[in-house]
Amino acid sequence: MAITRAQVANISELAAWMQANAVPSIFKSVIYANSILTATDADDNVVLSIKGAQNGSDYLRAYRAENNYLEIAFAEFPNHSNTIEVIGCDNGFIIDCIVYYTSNYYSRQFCALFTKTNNEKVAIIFPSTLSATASSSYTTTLRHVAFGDSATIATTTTFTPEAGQQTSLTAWKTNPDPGAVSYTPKAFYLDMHSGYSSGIGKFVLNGEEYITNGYWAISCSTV
Amino acid sequence: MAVDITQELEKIENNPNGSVVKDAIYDALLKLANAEGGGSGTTVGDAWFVLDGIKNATVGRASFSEIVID
Repeated sequence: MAITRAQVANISELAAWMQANAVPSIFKSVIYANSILTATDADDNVVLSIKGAQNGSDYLRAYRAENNYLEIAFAEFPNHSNTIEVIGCDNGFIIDCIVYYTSNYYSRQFCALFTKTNNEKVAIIFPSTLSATASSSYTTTLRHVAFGDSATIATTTTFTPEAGQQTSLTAWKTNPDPGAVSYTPKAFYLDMHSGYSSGIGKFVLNGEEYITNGYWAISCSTV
Repeated sequence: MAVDITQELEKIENNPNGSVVKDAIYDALLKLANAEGGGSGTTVGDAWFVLDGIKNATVGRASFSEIVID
């Protein structure tokens, strides 16, 4: 499965990358018009919108239902002087933003995962904030949306590793309700990640190929 | 370039002083695979870590003390 990596300077370039690499694998369509990126799922629901005019009122919205969305403002989303990297394959992609203060000192401002659940819903998972020290607490608070999942679940999930010092590949549950569990079978949260270096990696585990930015690991095997 | 670390380590595992050599090669191969697998800029490298049975590896930003799958 092809792995694609790019650096984008703005939302327009992000839209172009998503059109080329995330349609139709994740989204049915990605449109950029009037400074707004809009993405739809296979049922023509709007599942994502990003307003990127950099005027102080910009936002990223991840929809769980029509008129029901999670939103982050651009205070958290990159808007200038940052490196915005996208990398992914047909099973999902990551938008990663890193602010470089110097070549050796930087922090991650934003790291969002886009993938599909076991129910073939578009899943969008992003942090309220992430910093280079986020991993030290071994607990991370993330917000997540899969369109059509229960709207009653909390908008934040505090994740604590299950097994001591081990790093595990943990499928993210976008809806943990008993009997209606949905999760991300092809994308995994690394609960003991390291936030202190940049770059991506590729690894093979039990015959399956993964890419990782240190926070997420996405399976890029076809099976 | 593909780097099958497990395979490379197996070649020297039973040699005299194997543990010292093994550690050195292990580190070198991990660094090589990390650099070449990650690529740079907008590229994606060719190398893959093969992590089966490996502990204390760093892949991209992820540090693995041991790998398990839930």
